[in-house]
Amino acid sequence: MNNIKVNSDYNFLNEENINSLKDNTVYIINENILKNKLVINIPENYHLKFYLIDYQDDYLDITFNQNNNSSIEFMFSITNNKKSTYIITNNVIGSNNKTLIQGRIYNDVKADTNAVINGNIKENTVNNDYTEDIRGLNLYSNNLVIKPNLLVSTSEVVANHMVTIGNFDERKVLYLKEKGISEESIKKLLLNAFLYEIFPKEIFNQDN
Amino acid sequence: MLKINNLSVSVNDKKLLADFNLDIDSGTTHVLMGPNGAGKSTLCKVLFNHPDYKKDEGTIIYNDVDITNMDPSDIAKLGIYIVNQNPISIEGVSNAEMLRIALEEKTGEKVSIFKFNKKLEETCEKLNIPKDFIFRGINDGMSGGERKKNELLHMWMLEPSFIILDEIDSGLDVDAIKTVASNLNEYKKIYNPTILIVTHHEKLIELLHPDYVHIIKNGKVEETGNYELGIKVLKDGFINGSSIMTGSYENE
Repeated sequence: MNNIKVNSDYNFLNEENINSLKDNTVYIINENILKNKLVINIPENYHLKFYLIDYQDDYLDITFNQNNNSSIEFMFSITNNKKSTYIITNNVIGSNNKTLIQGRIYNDVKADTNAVINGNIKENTVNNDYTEDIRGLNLYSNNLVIKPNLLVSTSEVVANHMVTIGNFDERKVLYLKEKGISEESIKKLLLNAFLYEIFPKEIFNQDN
Repeated sequence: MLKINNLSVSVNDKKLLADFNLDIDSGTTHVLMGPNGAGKSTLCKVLFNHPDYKKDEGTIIYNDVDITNMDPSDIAKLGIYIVNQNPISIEGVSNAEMLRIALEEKTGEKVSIFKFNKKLEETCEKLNIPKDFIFRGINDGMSGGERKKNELLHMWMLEPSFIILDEIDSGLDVDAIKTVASNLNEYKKIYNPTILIVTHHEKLIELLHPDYVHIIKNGKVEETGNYELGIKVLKDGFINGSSIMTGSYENE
């Protein structure tokens, strides 16, 4: 696995080093290092996979800019237990791009979360395929706001965006109880499933 | 072993079981039959204290323990197991992970991973299911028939002493019915469990050869007989096959 070493100035993905990524993939696991706004310009014909796993800090602001013939798969899981703001923006400036943004936000007992997911598909672009799927888990009925802002300025695009906020599926809780599992363990099992189900399983089978 | 006494159950003021009584002895196999809406599946769910059903009166006693209002996870820990008609899927929670936790909570001891994995693999072979089921999400991406077999995999691992099977035959082809029946018979030989099955599948009844058949109508047991009663009902229908079944069926 290529677990990118993040520089202290947070400028770890620029034109110079983006091409040195192994398998075009970034993993950031259980590190809270994105304190400044991060802008990633994805070059033409570049296919980026970005996995942000177990993020727990109170601020995140990432912008992706896609030009032509690129793709991005951005998966993130956040566990929040304070007052936090998360902003994720994807600007599709060119044509023939593919975008998949999947996120899981868990609002813990003391959480107060405001998240905005911005998608901008610019005018005069064609043949872009854009999907956002963000889910929030709010077990304690705290403030959890996730705004899906999708601005489409062209007619030649396939774009989907979805946000859901909810609790555990009661049917799943009952099913696991019927196997003899306690509520505490069920919560752990279902929370892990919620947070990590979106990531490729290989990530969790590797050493680092 | 299990005694259901004067149990009345309702949902939104609609009576589903009324003054229901049933005694089940240890190590016996019982089939529940009855027209649609008679209360068969309701009974299965109520035995596990399903939260959607309100118990208006009566008790359910299992091995001298009152389980009427017990939490489902505690009921399962007593050795009661249920396979529902349509088992749900849980993506992201593997069969192995769930079973290991269930066993550790039931026994209060750490599971030996070597023995656990060996038994899982052997049971997969026995049930004729791929070994990769073990690490897949629970029932994730599985057909109806595969889900039923997966539930039997859980049964073998958890080793319950009382098994409730609510239409386990639904979604199974003839070969799968034979696999399920021979599997249950093998489990019976080894563990001598008590089994309560809701089914109208002739082949399954024939292969399992139950000790008792109960005909349920309007939320209560109307008639109890042996294996022959089940075969007669399957042949002649509820109206002619059972001595007490007269009149039209009450549909849900």
